[in-house]
Amino acid sequence: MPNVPAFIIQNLTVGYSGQPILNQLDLTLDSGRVTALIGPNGCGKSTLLKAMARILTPASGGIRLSDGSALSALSARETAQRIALLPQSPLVPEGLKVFDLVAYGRSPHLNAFGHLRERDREAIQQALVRTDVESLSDLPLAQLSGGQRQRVWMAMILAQQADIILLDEPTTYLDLAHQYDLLDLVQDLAADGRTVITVLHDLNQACRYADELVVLKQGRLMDQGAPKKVMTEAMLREVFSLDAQILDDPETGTPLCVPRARGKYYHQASWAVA
Amino acid sequence: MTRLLCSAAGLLATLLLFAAWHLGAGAVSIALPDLWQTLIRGHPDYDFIFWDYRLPRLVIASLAGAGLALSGLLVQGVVRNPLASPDILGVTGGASLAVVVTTLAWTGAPVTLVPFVALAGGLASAGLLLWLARSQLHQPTSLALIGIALAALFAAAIDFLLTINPLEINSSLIWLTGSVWGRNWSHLPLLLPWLAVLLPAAVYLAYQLDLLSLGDDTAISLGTRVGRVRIAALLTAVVLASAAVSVCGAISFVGLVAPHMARFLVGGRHVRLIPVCLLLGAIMLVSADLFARILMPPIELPAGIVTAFIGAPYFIFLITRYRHW
Repeated sequence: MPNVPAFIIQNLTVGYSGQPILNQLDLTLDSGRVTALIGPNGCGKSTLLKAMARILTPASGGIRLSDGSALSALSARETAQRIALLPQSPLVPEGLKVFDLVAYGRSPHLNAFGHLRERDREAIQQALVRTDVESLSDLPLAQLSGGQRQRVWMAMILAQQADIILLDEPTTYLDLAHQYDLLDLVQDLAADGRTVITVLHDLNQACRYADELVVLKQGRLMDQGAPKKVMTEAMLREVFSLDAQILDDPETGTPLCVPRARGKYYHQASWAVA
Repeated sequence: MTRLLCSAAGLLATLLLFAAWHLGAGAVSIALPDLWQTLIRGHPDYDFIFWDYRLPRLVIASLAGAGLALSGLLVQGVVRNPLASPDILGVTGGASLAVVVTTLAWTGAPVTLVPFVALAGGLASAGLLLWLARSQLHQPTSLALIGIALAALFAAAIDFLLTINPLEINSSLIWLTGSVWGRNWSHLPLLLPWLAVLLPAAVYLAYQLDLLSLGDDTAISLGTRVGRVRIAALLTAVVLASAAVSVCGAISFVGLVAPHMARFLVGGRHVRLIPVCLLLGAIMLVSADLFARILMPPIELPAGIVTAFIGAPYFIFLITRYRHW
């Protein structure tokens, strides 16, 4: 696979109201694959995502895209045509119907009044089918379950038809089955050639679904690479302050992180007995 | 779409009903056939009362109500909070304070000056609010809270001035409660041009306000220039409310309740909300002015009292029945 970079981040310092969260970060993210951003709470994962979506403006340094253009030089609309973001807890206006929400995904391609043309309707239809929510399109969002709602948000992102998709903890609030459904969809998108960059909390899911992991701690890049390379016991101890052993996932062969027993299981643990 | 058409048609019929009632009722009551004749061919007995007294009052009340409702819709769209209304932008308080200060400082001030003083006061205080909240504009709730604090400050200043000048308070009080009494065609140019310019502006902003309702992060990632939309919508709302307040005084609750009712009727999309809001605002102020005139004749109540009496309980009902925030 040719590694065309989707984002080239150089010397990026960004944060909230003068407080930098990321400090002089250098990072290159490949296109056409799934990259998972991992790290302990407050490490700057979401901040990085927001900087890539232009929600936060860098204090210094910059972000360039695959064609070399600076992100800050694009218009808001051009950015939205190329980069889609699903925030962690988007607001749901009550009474809004599924179709209408997905249609908002077309807005970077529409005029100021949001008039939908034929090809916009096609894009919306495809997105609804792809995420399996076509049958819900007339229902108000408020009536859906958490899993359905997240699929609808994904449909909105897909209708946007951006090459780069940024997801901020997309599996939060979902039950386990829906988490894996969503991650399967994410993987399919990358297989179609889109770039997916997602913040994930669950390390085992990150190992299973991401082609590349980016490990952040306190705003600095700790490691980057394939899950097999990055997910080590030393990394878990250093970055997450977690004692764990790494096994092979019996289903996929990807690294599986199993925390060491503590508390009431302490004496049963193999390493404690030995 | 059918829902919008049905709502709009129903509201238009209601507005016409109240308009006919408004034109007919009063100290001299005009029967419906006579109203029609006056409108089409003229009527020797009623020409003056119809053309020079009641019709301008009806038109002013409709436009001011519509303007306040539209202003409220824009403010709520920006602030995303059910408590938001033009009042929290300091428009009403600032306009009121300006009028009270002028009335007290310049005893012989011509009545025709009042709308201009109010307009200037409303715009100035809204400007003050936007300046104070300039670093908080991305956090609409802070904007609302600063506005509430400003409104309290203005209210205290007004109370203080009225307490130390008890003799001059009467005309100020009527103005402060809001009234359409004595409004005539000369007030129309104070209202109509603003509406003519700002209504298209509101329509232009409608779709972007829809996107704003998804939250800032989503709106930005969909290519919305959130800051610009917010400022444009707030300025539009401020000027609309100032214009309405300058002509009618501090009419309460129209800007707060009408957008909620409109959402109840046609959902959350602003393009659909705008026409419904305009009609609802007009109905509210026309009917309030009607009841203000006919409830206890010959006393004319200020319409603002009626809007609050009807608006406040209805608002409570609406909030407990329907949660859309």
